[in-house]
Amino acid sequence: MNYKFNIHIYICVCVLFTTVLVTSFVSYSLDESKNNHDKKVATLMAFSQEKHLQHKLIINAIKSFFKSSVRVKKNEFSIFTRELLGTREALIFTLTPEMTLGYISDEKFVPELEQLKTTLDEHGKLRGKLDNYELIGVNINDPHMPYLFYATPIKRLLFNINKLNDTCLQYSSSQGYVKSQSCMMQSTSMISALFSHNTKLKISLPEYDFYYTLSIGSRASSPMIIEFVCVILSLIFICSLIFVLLYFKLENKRLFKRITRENKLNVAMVSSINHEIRTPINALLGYSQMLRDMPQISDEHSVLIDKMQWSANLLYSVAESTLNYSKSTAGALVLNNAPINTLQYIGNIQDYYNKLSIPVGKTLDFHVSDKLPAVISVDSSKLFQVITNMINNALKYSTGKAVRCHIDVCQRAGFNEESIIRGHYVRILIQDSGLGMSALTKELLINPFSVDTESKFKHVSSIGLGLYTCNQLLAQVGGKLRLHSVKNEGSKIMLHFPCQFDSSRLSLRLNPIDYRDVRILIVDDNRFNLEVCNAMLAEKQFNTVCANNSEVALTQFVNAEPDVVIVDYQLDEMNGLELIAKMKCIQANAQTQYFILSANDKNEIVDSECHSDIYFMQKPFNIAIFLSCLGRDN
Amino acid sequence: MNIDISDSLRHFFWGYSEARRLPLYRALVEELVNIHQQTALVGNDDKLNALKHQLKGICRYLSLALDEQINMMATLGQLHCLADNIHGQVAAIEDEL
Repeated sequence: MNYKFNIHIYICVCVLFTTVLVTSFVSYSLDESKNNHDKKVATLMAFSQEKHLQHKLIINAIKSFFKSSVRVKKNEFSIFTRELLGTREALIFTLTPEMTLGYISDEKFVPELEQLKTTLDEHGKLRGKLDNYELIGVNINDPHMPYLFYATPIKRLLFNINKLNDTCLQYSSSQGYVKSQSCMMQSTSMISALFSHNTKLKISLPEYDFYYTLSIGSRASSPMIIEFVCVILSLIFICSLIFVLLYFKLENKRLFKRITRENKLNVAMVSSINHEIRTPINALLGYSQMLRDMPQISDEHSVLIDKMQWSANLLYSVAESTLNYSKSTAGALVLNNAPINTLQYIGNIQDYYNKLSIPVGKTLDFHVSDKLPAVISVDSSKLFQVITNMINNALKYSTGKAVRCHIDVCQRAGFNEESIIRGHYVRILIQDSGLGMSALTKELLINPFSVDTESKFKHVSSIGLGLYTCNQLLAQVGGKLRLHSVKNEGSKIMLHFPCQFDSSRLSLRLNPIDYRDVRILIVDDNRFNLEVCNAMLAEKQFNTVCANNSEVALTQFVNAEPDVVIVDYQLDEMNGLELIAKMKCIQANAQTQYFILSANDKNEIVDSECHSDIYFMQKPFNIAIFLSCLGRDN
Repeated sequence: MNIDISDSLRHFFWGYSEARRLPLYRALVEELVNIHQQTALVGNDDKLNALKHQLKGICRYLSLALDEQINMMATLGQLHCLADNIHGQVAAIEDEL
């Protein structure tokens, strides 16, 4: 996904999301509050209905009591009403036609009845009013006591009302007005107002001509408001935190991409500079070799030329180190393994030092283990760089005379702590003698460009990159560099470089190779390049066939059945990879080994990674590299 | 541009046996003549990169450090002069082979 990150849009999205979340929570809370209020209203209704039913039952029972008796005596009334009321704090009393007190359920309430006011309306219905009591009056069929009152204390009503917490209940009727304690403690804050709900219930008992109004007002309590505010603040805080973390994650990703891109650019730049530097170094090496080959060169001049060549090679090594340093810091190092003829490869390294002429007074000895397989698959250019870098250091900085290099192979668990898979490694021990390395010099392994000011070699030019680069290179490709240096004894450097080989070939020793039976088809549309390549291979007794275009190449491929095909990448009609694909289609010999010759590096060729069975070589054609790769089946 | 490459040419040819020198020489001359002719043709500008690539390949085999100079060439004319120069010096050592 390719988009441009905009902080303003991001903040807007964050705010919008948080607002939606908070709004949803508020809406949910309001709904919950309304539901609670409705439940309270329903409870109150149920409570009222139950109360009315009780009133009706009690009044009907007394009516029946009076109806079934000829004349109710006072003690009978007292016993009956006491049994009927039970623990209720209600009061039942009768009035005579003169409106004086007749019977009463409990004599101790008689003084309170002094405040009783009674009236008869135009329909002859009885109405009464008594402080602190709710009165329901009915007529009964007793000529001596035609009026009956059922009185419920209002304090009892309040007690029931107060059972509903955080709710303001108001009772109002023609006989009085009561409100619960919660009504005194109502909060007037804005948030509290959000959660306030009011309902008025008008309740009537028409058979007793009794009407009253119940008001129920729900309010959020202070703890609830605090809880609500806390949840809202927590939501905002959590959202902010998540969005800030997400922002940093996105920013990190963006920075990582930028750094990766810059690293790639740096590698490309260093690679380009390196490429340009290597060309004049090659010229320098070539010309110095020409000078050296001239018959009239004196010994004195020969020494100077040796020094020139040694310096040019060091410069070449620095260029390689710089390139690999850039690649390793960018994490762009990959192994390009290809089979090599091991003894020939080591011979090439020895030749390299023989041609360079080792510094005066120093000796370099190679010892190759008998166990070394004839052919191993390894990234030969990186291995060469690591070995020569370490040997150069030993030759350049050791104070002793002898430098020894032991090479063998081993099988062991990976150097990565998590790795349990055993792998094969080329093991190289480079040993020198002398004063050994100081602690500061050892730091070069992990800290490039550091300088040991105490070293006696501080005057020797060095950028302090080789040791670090080799260490990083080996670490990245799964190998290991171990350094052991003892004062006044010298240094040992053990290198483990990953490789692959068929263990059944461990005991196979190399024999001198006869190339006369090896048929090679060379394809290049540049006739001179074709001739040079042909001449180099013919010098090594190879059986060569040439083709200067793809059509001829395909014909020759069928006729000659070559063991090896070397194709120039840039052909007129098609590229080298396409030609090899066609050859594979008409595969005459399943063992054919394919080489691509290109002016570019393997990594610069599109899809080169997809062709693991094809060897990529950089121009100009180098017979030594070719021979080191030519070992798989020969 | 006047570069003396005769020593490089001698070094290159002396690296091969006598029997191989002449075929190599002929192939080299043939390629140089080809480049020389191609660079002389009007309207061949689109082939500039291909011809540069071709000449660079030859120079690399001859150990001539001319990559940078060839890369910087922007016209067929410049390439023509260089090919002419190299061809002239190659032709001059024919008798020595």
